[in-house]
Amino acid sequence: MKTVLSPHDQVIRKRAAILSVLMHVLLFCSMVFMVDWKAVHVTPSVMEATLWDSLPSKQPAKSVVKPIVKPVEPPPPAPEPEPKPPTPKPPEKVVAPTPQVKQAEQAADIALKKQEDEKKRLQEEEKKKELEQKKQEEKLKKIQEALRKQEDEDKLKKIQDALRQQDMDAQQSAAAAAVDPSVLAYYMGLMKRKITSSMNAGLCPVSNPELLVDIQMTNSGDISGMPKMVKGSGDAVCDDAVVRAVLAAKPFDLPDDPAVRRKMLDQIRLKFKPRG
Amino acid sequence: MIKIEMMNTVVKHLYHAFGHVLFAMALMWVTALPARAALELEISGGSAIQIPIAILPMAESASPSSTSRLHDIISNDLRGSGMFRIINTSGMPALPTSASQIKYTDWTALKAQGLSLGEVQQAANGNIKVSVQVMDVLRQTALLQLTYTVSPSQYRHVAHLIADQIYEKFTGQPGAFATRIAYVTKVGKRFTLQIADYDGFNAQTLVSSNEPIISPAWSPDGSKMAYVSFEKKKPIVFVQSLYTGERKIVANFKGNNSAPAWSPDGSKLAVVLTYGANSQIYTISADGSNLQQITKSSAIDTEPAFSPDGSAIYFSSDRGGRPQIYKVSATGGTPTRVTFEGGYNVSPRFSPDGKYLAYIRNDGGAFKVAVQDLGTGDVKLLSTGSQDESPSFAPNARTIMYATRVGGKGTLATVTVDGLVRQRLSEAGGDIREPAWGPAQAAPK
Repeated sequence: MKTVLSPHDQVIRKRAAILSVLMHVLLFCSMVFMVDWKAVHVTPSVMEATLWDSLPSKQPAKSVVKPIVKPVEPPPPAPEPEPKPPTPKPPEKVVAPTPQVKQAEQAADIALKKQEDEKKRLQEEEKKKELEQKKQEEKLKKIQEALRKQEDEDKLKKIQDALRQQDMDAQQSAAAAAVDPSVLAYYMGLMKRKITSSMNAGLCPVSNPELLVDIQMTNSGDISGMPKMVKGSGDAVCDDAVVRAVLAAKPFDLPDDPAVRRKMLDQIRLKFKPRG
Repeated sequence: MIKIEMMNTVVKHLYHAFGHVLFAMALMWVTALPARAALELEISGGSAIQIPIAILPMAESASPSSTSRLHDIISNDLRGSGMFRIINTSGMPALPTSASQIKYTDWTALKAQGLSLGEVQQAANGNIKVSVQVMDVLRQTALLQLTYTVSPSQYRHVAHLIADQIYEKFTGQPGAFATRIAYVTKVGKRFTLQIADYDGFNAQTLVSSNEPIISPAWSPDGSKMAYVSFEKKKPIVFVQSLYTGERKIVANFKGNNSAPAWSPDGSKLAVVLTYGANSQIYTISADGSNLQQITKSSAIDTEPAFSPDGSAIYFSSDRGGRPQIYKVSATGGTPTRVTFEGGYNVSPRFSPDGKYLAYIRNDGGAFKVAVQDLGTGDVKLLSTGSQDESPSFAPNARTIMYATRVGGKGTLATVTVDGLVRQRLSEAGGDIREPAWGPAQAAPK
């Protein structure tokens, strides 16, 4: 099939062809530029890692030059240059631009432009870096915040625990307060009388040393195990007399009052002054 | 809980407001709260003076003839010391003879703190074997395990040895039951110097005379006895060996020679001589040489006694008008007065530990044994008689023996230094006086 084109169509056809070629050239140029730009803008690596298939041999390569053992002689001290009186420089002549100079100016303009572009690029790079750093810092901050929060919670927990303990103690002392002091005094008095009447004071030194003995009563008023000598008199016979006095005095009377009874079933410290 | 939560909220807010400083302060405040105190009971003094102990009869398959059994002798010793209360076991249905048979609840019910049991068996060569166990009833443990193989004649002695061990175990002080005493008896017109067990048993005669014998004094090692005999119609100081019976005159000077007292090292004696004119104190070597005058006064100085360290001689003197006790250096010098309380104090005797001075005090016309604590200066009247004399300490310084008069007859008695326990020794008949308690290392029988 034969297509007949008018001269006008032919002109249009030419233009279109030129445009198309131009576009292609433009596209090609831009592509080249882009690739080049990409190549230049590779972010500088922070750390380089070299991957090895196998560990390098420990033997130094044969080609390695042996270190020179011969000590290098220090160079003779350079003669100190004599200070010269500064000579005034003649002022630079201002030369009018010539066509050669013009060319040079154009080249300089291009270079300047290039420099500016480079500057811009670096600035952008810096901005990116800053952004990255900011992101990192924020991340770190978040972690620290979380840690601090945890720490605070721990500390708070400590205070809360201490307060809870204090509250429990208060409750216990409230319970202790429920102990009728007169009942306690009466039964402790009974215990004291029993021990005193079995204590042989004559077996202790006249210097009247103080002895401390801990006892733990059982529910039947007996003593659980042996009395514990916390502080002795330094005299074995006296210490023995005190322990015997306690053992000989048992069993002790315990009150029916549960609070007083509970109190007396706690550890009791006996403070002896054998000679009165 | 609500309270706690409220507090927590407050703390939270405060914490956020003031941060770490407040936290530290809060924690300090909370942790500084005091721990709940345990019950404390102050016990001052003690009224018990005697340790309750049960001395059970021994299983005696070999029983030497003796007026009292082993456990009776031990019981008597311990009771007499004043430190023990012997629990009566006669009502007990079955008495254990070995530790494995002991039912401790029975004995704690009787308040016993100690329990002794054992057996006496026949041993080889006609000897007897005495085995004794002493148990701690309160702790349910064994305190002592003793075995003696002796001749039957040592039956009483073994009992005293066991009593000594029990005494020391409970009191920390050595006992003085296996010791001996010397005393003078007068039967009719016969005077006899005798040596016996501390309780008056096993008496043996050392010397006898129709003339008075007075002032027996044990040498510190218990091997010799110094005494004054009038057998030569005047008082002369003799020293006699308890091993050989050999005796010699130590002081036979012009006038009276009396009141011998041994120096602690046994090298010399203090004696009273009227050599010059009136009674004065002298020292003389144990062999009768080296006479040295210690006091020089116009008064009567008599009854010397060395201090336990041998540095001083205490004596009675009326140099101040009325009889009092003075002391002077053992080498002589100016005497100083020791007793000030009471108008009449004589016959000083030291306790072997040097802590006490015993003497006779005229207490409103009654002569009694007094003891002065040399540490505190306190004086205590110990005896209750009206003519008590010649105090003498047991070697453990716990008991004093003295002569007293009961029904017009002289007898011996003991009293503990605290004055709490008095005992009278068995009366063998006759008049007994001038007791002297021997040292711990008494002479063999």
